[in-house]
Amino acid sequence: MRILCAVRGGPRSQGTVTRAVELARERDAALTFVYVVDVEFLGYATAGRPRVMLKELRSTGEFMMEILRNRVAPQGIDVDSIVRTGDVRRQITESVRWQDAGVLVIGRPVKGRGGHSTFTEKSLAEFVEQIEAQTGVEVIAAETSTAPAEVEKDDAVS
Amino acid sequence: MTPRRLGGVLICLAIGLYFAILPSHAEEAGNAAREVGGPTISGILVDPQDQPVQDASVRVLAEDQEPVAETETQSNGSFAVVVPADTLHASLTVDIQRPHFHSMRYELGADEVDTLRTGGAFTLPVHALERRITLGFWIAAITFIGMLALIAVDTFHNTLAALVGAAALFISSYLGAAVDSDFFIFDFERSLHYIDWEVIFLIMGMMIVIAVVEGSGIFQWLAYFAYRISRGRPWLLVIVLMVITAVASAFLDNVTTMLLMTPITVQIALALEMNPWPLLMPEVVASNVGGIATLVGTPTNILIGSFAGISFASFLINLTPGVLMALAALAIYVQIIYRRSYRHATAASPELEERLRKNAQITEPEDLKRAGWVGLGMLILFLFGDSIHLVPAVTALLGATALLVWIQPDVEEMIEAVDWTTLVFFMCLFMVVGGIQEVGLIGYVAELIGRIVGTNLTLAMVLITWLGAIMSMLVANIPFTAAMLPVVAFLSNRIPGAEGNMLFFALSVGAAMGGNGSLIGASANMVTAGIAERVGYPITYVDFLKQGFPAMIVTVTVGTLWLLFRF
Repeated sequence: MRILCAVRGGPRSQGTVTRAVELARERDAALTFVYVVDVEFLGYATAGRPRVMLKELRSTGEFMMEILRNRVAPQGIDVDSIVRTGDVRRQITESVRWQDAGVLVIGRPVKGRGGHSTFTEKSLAEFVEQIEAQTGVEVIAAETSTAPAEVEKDDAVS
Repeated sequence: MTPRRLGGVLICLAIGLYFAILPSHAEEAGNAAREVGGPTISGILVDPQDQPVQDASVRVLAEDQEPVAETETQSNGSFAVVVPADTLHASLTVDIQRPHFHSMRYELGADEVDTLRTGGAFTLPVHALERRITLGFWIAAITFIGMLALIAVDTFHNTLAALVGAAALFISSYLGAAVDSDFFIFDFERSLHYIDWEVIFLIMGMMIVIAVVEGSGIFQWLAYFAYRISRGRPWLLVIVLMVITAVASAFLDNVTTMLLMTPITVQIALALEMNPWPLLMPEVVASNVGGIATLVGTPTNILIGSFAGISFASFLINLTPGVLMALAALAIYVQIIYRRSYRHATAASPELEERLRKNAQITEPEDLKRAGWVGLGMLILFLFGDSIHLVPAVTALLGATALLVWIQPDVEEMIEAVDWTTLVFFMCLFMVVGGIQEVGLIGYVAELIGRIVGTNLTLAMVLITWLGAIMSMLVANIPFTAAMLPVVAFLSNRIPGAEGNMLFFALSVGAAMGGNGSLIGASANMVTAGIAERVGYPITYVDFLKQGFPAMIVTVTVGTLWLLFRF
């Protein structure tokens, strides 16, 4: 059995990663992290250079995945990672199919400060319903870590 | 229509419009130079700020109020109208009309008509037309403010906001004016006069240059080089990264610099097990400050340089020392506020270090070498081209062409890399700013600031620097700077000792450094935050403000002190 864990990186993904590792251990399953590069959010700033930006963000995604693998592997879990490019929903769905995953772990929308989540509670529920129907995968929406980023904790300007 | 075709159409459109304007300039020059024979009435019209009034209708009316001769004022506000000899009977009236001004009439007395009758010329005294607030005035003002608001709240694409603004002006001028002439702002031909084609072509040329360079891997290599020479010590690493970013931003646009520096910087930070923001924030602030050093470093400098005719060398000489001082102050600031993050960082593992090295390789070394030679040539032309009247836009186009010919990349791919939406944004922005200039709003603002500063040059410099900084923090600095250019020109003419473009340099410092004050203050901030968010490190508006606003205060203070010392 394979568990697919969709991550964005950063401290807020910690909760999702922890949940996926727990599940992999409980079910004695292999774990695959998936990171999706999507430059649409940059809008006009990358209008003329999506090729270069995709390459750079892909490289950063692979770097993050390597760090994740290095952290999880010593816990005795069979772990690997994939980096995909394009629309987040479609790429996660295709990853589930390609990896023949039995479980998908995905982070719930961020409740803390800062940033925009890929999903809202409503759109996540819709996505879960849709991907379950399309692929038959079991989806677990993990609580996202709401701990502020280190920079806010350590270096708050007083 | 494909982006490629759209790009081609826009190039043709831009070039067509550029050449369409050329004859009118030539015509103006020809008219000004032409000797006017026969009975002639001439004069010069200015606005309340002593700026020439162009395109005013000047008609000579006979006793029965029928026009016997007419002309329009030239770009320098002058006019000369020949009155047919057979109409010189008794009295004549000169009737002057111009939208957004009160009309004016001048009755020629018998003696003056006699002078004309003998074939002589009569010159009216220099006359300042009084401004008139029309419905068009309010529409242009609301349109400009609305455009700023749309850009600030980020609900509309910048280009769409500017397009909507330009469209609103034309709707008022054509459809509105058909109902009530008070709605008139300007016609299409007049709006084209406000587009600064030198800016458009300079930005376009630099975009092609950047498109060739950005795929070479040079930025990634430089960031890795910073990591190597600092041996992974964050306090030193951040200083080297700031210097690299500032120098790169002086010659390339800040958005490109941060687009390429941010991913590799995130990787370095993650390898050191630290949050990326204590490296990213100093980088983006240094990028915004470093761009001030040259004419091509920021869009605001391109606007200022083109409007005021300030050369590349002049920017370098007058602003680089201030930029270096501001960077030194920033280096101290970041060491203080991020000290704990720097202290808690750990050494990167050999595996991650190796991965960093692989990710930071120069991918096109031969192309990079050629780009370096072309870049050097461009730098020489930017520095010394002024002596042969070579404008920076032409240097940028020559550099772009040289790169395309020498490196021979996929030309269509390079042309597609030109950000046409940005160029359309600038064209529409020039029109919207032209609208508020046309109706006199900028004149009123100039008058108001003129009253506040009087003839005090120091006060004017400090006010422009800090007003520029605060406004650039709150609203997009490009439209603000574009609107401030005529205001600064007015103040430069009026305040004794303000020659030498010092007030324009104050605007440059304020507009660029002010961008550090808030997340929306500069496009580079938004792009950096966007990438960081995508890799799991979002930053809120308030958190950016907490770290960026003090940086803005520090840099603008240093910048102001430098300007006061220099001038």
